[in-house]
Amino acid sequence: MSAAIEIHNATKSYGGRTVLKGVDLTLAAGTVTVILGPSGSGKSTLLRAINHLEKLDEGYVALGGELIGVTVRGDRLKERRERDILRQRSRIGFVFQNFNLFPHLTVLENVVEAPVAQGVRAADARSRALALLTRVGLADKASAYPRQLSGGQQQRVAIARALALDPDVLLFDEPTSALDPELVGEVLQVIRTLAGSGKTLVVVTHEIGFAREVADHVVFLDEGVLLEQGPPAEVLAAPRHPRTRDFLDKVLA
Amino acid sequence: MPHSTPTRLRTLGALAAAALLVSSLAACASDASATGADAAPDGTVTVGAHSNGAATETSIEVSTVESIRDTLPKEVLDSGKLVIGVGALPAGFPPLAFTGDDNETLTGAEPDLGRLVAAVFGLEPVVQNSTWDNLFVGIDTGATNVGFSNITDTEKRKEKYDFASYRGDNLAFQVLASNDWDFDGDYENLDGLTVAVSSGTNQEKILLEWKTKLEAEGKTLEVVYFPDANSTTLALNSGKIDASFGPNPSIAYQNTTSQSGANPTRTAGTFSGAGETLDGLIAATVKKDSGLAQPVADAINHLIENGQYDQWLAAYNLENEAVETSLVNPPGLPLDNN
Amino acid sequence: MSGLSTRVRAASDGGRASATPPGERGAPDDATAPGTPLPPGIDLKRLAERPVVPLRHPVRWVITAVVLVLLLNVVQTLFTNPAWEWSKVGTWLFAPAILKGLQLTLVATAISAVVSFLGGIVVALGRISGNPVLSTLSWLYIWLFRSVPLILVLIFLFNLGNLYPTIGIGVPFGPQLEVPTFTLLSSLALGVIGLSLSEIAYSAEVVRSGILAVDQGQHEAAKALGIPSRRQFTRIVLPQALRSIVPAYVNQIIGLLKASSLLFYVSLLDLFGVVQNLGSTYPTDIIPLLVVATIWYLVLTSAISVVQYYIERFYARGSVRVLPATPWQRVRGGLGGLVRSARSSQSSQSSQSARSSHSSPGGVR
Repeated sequence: MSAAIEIHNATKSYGGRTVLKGVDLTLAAGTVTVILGPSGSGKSTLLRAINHLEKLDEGYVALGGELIGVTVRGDRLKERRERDILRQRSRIGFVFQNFNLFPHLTVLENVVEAPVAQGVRAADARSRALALLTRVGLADKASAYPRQLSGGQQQRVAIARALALDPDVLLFDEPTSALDPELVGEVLQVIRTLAGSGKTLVVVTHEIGFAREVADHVVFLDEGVLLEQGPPAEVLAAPRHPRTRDFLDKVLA
Repeated sequence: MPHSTPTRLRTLGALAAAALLVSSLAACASDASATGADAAPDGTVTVGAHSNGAATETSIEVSTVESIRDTLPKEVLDSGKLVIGVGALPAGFPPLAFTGDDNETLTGAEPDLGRLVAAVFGLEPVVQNSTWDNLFVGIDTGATNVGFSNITDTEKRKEKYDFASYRGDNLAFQVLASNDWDFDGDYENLDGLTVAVSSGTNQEKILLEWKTKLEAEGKTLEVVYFPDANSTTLALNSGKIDASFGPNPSIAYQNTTSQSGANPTRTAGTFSGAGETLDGLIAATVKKDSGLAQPVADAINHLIENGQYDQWLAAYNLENEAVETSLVNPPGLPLDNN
Repeated sequence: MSGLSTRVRAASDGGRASATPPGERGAPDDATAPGTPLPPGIDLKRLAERPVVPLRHPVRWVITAVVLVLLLNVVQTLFTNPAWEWSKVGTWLFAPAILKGLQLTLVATAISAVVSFLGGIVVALGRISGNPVLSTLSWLYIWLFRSVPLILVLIFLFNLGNLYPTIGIGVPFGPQLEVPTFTLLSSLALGVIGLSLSEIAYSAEVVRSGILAVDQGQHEAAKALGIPSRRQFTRIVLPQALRSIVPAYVNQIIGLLKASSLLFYVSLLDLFGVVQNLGSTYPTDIIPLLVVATIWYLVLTSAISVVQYYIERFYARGSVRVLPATPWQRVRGGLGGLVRSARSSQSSQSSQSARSSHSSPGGVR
């Protein structure tokens, strides 16, 4: 199961500084999108807006036609109650740059936490969690605590945790940036296996090679403006915008 | 949920452990306040019980006097109890009011006289022990009917309270037995000394007056304060102070008990609590215009006329503090003496 | 002085002999001063095969010895000075009156500790909450009860109890508590309320600091997983916050244990109150009674410290890769280590080749 993401006029500013300037973006269901851009370009903000971790000043995000975090009230968009937002987030998995695993819970407890909180039967959540851990190659670490794992292993647990609710969408916020270079591959490998699983994937990353190989769609963001988008062959191989070229030159240098 | 729920229970368990660790040694709730009622048979009041040698335990026969009982305010009669306030917390002041040698009963000359008065009234005595400050608050708010707590009759206090006098107010200097200093009734002898006194008391006012006089003559007297009698005793033992100035009965008690210890003490002179011109008086203290002062004075006079008063004084060796009659609001330590 | 200047110069100019005044050449430090070239004829490769001799700390040993001697002196006076009157201490230690006071101390502290902790969470949440009324009220509460000394709170409470036949005390944002006055229970209740009112203000700040110490990413992760708000707090935030809350709050409890000696203001005698009270009846026993109180406070604080250790150990799981050993495990491990090191130094004596990792620092080389 999957759903298309529609972002319209996403606008956000922090204390006078505008970080998103009316971004419009449509991502087809089941595709893999990589968002590129220099640091401070607003790409993480855009990603976090998709599951309403960032509240937009203007604009909306819709998932399979359902508005996320807001609802229509008269001729305005109005923020939803926290409880409803939390429920909507169960359709959207999120993987953080710094993993943000719960350090006081074991690996297995981390993965079953969300389903159990949502009322899934304990035994079901547990067997599903073990299946997910097997999928990311960490079934033997189920009873370890996160700090006993390497960074790459922790990020794989975080991916399993994000998958535990069987979401339609998975968001990755620079999932390999906090990792030692030799650990990047194992995490990217896991993400690669998710591509084509039917889930809509959105990945903020600097891994151009990964984008070229896995992405269906590449988006380039700069200073809160969507400068360029298209298939990786176009955007990465023949960027039209000079700033995109600049960026790619620096990253690939 | 085999993995989630047990963890949460463990979390709660750890929290509970933090709390329970302190209570694990204690079995049940406490009743530490020393409010006791007499268990003596009708018509008899036992005074000087558990006094640790401060008194001779004596049974005194007292019966209700209806004519006095009839003059009591209606609320007090209706309650059936006479709440006797004593300000002996945290440390008592034997032999006047203190925890007895069963380490439980609040005993002493003051609550015992209160019990005798309650017997004349035909009321059940309830002794309420509190701090000195809270004693007066208790009287102010009506929670306590009458204070028997070595309270000196002063004009200042008469602004808020009525008095029924019952005992002389003699003060004494306590020194180590090894010290040959003597007061000799002359404040000039205090020159150069360090003397401890309780703050907020009548004896403090007298001592400060002497200090002013001495300083006017270019002499010195250092007045120091301690939170309770125990600290004063320790200071006297260690030589930090030369003398302690306090109620004569208390000092007599400490002298007696100290003979068995490492630092025996003695009395080095006495003085009337009201100063040189007036006899100091200790009085039962009731709220002003509560209508209780006269019945209390009548009851004490009844006890004086029928000999129970003398028995009570004799039990506590306080005969030299006897008064001939109980007066309502007798002249007290004057206002300008503050 | 001359030695120092020599050393500095030697260090700065590489120890060239021409730069050193002739009269100071013989200073023994020269050979080992930094910057000094190696004396000729030393086979470094050979030295490299031997264990490095660790730096000795003679001054440390001298200070340790002095401190131990002073401590022994003090300990000796405990036994030789008759003023301590240990026989009387023994008589009073388990006297029923003392135990009764101890019981009150324990009960009042335990109830207040639990009430204050729960109340502290409530006030801390109010303080953190986005609701301006709640956060202002919580701030005001903390401000008020941190400003007013406990002794005043107790006197005020006791007098309020005298002024009204019943008195309603509300835990902030909580239910109202109706307390009847002039019963024994109410004295304890008043005392506990007084202690708690004051203590909540402190524990609220302890709890708040603990919550703030939890990484923002934990809140975000919990939100992103759609975990309901209450569960976010109880399951994710609080357990992590407790790691820093526990040591600070145990400190608070120990303070509370001693603060309960002010309960005589509500006509209750705790351990110290009983000691004061007995001291007035038995003026010759004041010192032994104070020693008894000291012993009991030491016992109570030690017991709390032991429990604290295990609670902290519990909440440390996941935060450290390997849990620290319990004191018991450490004692056993230490003994085992000693045995092993003794064996290994024996073996190293006989054969220099095999060297155990457990060889003691002072072992035979």
